[in-house]
Amino acid sequence: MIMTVTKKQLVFVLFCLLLYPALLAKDISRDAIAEKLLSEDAKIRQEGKTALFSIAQKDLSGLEKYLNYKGSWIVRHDAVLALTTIPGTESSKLLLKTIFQDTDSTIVSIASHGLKGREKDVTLDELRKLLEMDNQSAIRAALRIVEKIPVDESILVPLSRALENKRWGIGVRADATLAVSKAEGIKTDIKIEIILNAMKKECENPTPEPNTPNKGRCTSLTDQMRSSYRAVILRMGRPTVPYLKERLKKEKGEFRKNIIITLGYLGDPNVYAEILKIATTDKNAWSRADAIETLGEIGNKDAIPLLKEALKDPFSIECGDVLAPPGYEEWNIRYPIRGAAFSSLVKLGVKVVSQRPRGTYKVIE
Amino acid sequence: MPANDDDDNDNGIPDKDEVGQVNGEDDLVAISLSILPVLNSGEGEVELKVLWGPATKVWKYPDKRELIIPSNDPCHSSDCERWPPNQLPPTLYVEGLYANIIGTQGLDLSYVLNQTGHLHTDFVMVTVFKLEITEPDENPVTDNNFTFNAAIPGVCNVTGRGTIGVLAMDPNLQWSISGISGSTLTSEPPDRKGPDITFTYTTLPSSWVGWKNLYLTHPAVSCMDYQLVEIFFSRDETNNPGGTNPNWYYYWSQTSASTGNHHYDVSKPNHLGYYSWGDTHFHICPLACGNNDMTGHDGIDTFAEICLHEKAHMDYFLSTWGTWANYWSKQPTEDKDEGVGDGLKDSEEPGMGYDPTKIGTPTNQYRKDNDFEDYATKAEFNWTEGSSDYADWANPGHRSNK
Repeated sequence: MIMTVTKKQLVFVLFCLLLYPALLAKDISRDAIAEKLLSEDAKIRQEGKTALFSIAQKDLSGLEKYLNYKGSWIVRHDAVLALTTIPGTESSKLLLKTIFQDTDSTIVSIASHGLKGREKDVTLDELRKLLEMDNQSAIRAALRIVEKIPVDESILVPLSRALENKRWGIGVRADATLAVSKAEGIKTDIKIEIILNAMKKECENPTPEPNTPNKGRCTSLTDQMRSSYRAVILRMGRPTVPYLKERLKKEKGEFRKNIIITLGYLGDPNVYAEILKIATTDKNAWSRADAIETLGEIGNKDAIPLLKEALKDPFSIECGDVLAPPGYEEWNIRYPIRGAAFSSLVKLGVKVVSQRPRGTYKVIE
Repeated sequence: MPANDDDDNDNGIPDKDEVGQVNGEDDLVAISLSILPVLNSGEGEVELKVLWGPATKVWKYPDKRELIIPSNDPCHSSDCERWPPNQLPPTLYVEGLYANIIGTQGLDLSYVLNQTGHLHTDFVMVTVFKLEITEPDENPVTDNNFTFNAAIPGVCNVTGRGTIGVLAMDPNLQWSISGISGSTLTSEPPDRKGPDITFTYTTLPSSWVGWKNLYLTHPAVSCMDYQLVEIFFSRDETNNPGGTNPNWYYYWSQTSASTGNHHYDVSKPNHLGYYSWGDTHFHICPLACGNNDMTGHDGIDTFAEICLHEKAHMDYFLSTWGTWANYWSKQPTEDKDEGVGDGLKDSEEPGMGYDPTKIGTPTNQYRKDNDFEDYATKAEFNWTEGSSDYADWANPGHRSNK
């Protein structure tokens, strides 16, 4: 009549074998391509990637499932890589959506990098959101966009934060500073204000040195950061002088010193006296070197005796990551103040020759 | 039969929790019902009853249309359904809901003949199982990450726990995992059976493949579960086959993060890297596995960026000056910045945006102190952060926390 229990058990086992592919799925939301991308076998993973690229080329909406895949970052990683290869506004928008929604920093970084060359696909609202991201790659993408599309003052607050954010690399902050100077649609006085405010904050609250500073660097992080802010003002050139002078009236301390040095580099003769003071008394040897260097730009020949004296300044530093071969180690020692004095003296028309060992100079009277 | 907790219609809901039709459903088990000889209506009643618990449902169709048991018929209890004998459906479909840890449950088909009151029954035993690796389960997300320790040779224990959902069957669970070339693989227990397993890899391989699948099977069901596990090396140890350099340098050098011909130099612990004028290689130093102050990146990204930085120095020097001896002789006339030179040829500096009279041009974006450093630092920014995370098997590293 009805099959016996034993026979049914056999049928059951056979049925189970038929179900085998379905049982492979541990996570209920895994699908065949995700399975391949998560395989331990590199060949199968490659098959999964190829399938994903094929989906991306045919139908971006089909790729979204993988961009949103919750089960594993690896699937989203491969999906966003596929997305970056697809040109067009639709894929740019999907990249932006990924940047704003994904919480994995690797995915956000790859998607942000994928925006390169797509700057014109980004709206001002999206740019603002990018600048507010807590991810350096997104910030760098935003900075590229700032330089490529017309912006307005609504981006100033997030852009200012990028300049000042001590969690970012100092190079990223330098890029942010440059982006401010290049931003179309923002007035020059506002640009200078942003950069000077960032410089002021850096002077008041210097970027801390790491526990083990890198000897490849010759200056402190805060000195580098200040010189990066200054560099952008110098690139903006002499139109910045009136703004700097106005600001100089109300500022004191380290920040004031930095404005003076900036004006010195711009050749402003009015700061000569204060430059001399920095050149001779400042406790920061790199500031003294900067001041000495600006004397050549200011062009006041009264400084020549001081500069000749500076050719013998004892300040030396062994740093950098390009090193002379054994037997020439003295080449690795730098005398920044002597070098700056040499440069300024030459600018002032004094004949000076450099001799070996490195850092030895002789004035030809 | 398996518990029906997959998602055949791909809507994010386990099929067992679905109400109504499930497109693509393929997990229900057909049962054939018949009475021989064929009887007429009025000659009694046939009843199908689920015994010993609610681990199953019975449906009229294989895609979960028309629920038969539990029944809504108010005339009898919900765990059964009744038909006149000539209306007995020839096939019904049983759905396993969840594994029953005590084992089986029954489906009882009874027929009561009106005239005699005689009872005929047939009975089938059903075991709903759920073969499952319960640990690691990626909750937290890093619980499937395992790391070789600092021992020499290094040891990595991969532990797993599983069940088939029926306690009495768990001792026969069978585990497997594939080997790592260059490592020996042992297990505890040695026969790899039972609910708990520890696989031990001993000795780090010469090239890293961190992906491994941990498989769980059971001889009674011929089905399988698996879990991806990820195997890492201890970043700062030196127990790689090279033997002297840290693991991060040894293995990252095999990834896309590595560019150029480089050597490791432990003697400069306060450097990220350096280039010696005239060499055809550059050096990577201990700080290169940590933070890069310039880009704000760390780990494998720093390593990649320092490779690019030092390679930029090397490529420029070799293509412009060739040898140290050549540079040494030409520096006084061709690289005169501040009288001592910065490594960049004076005639090329204006085109590169640098002042040939100064070691460090005041308008440099990254390194005011040195033009050659500014030039090499620009190369660091050609690196795409995160682009080698996929291949970063260091712990700590960029995928060890995922």
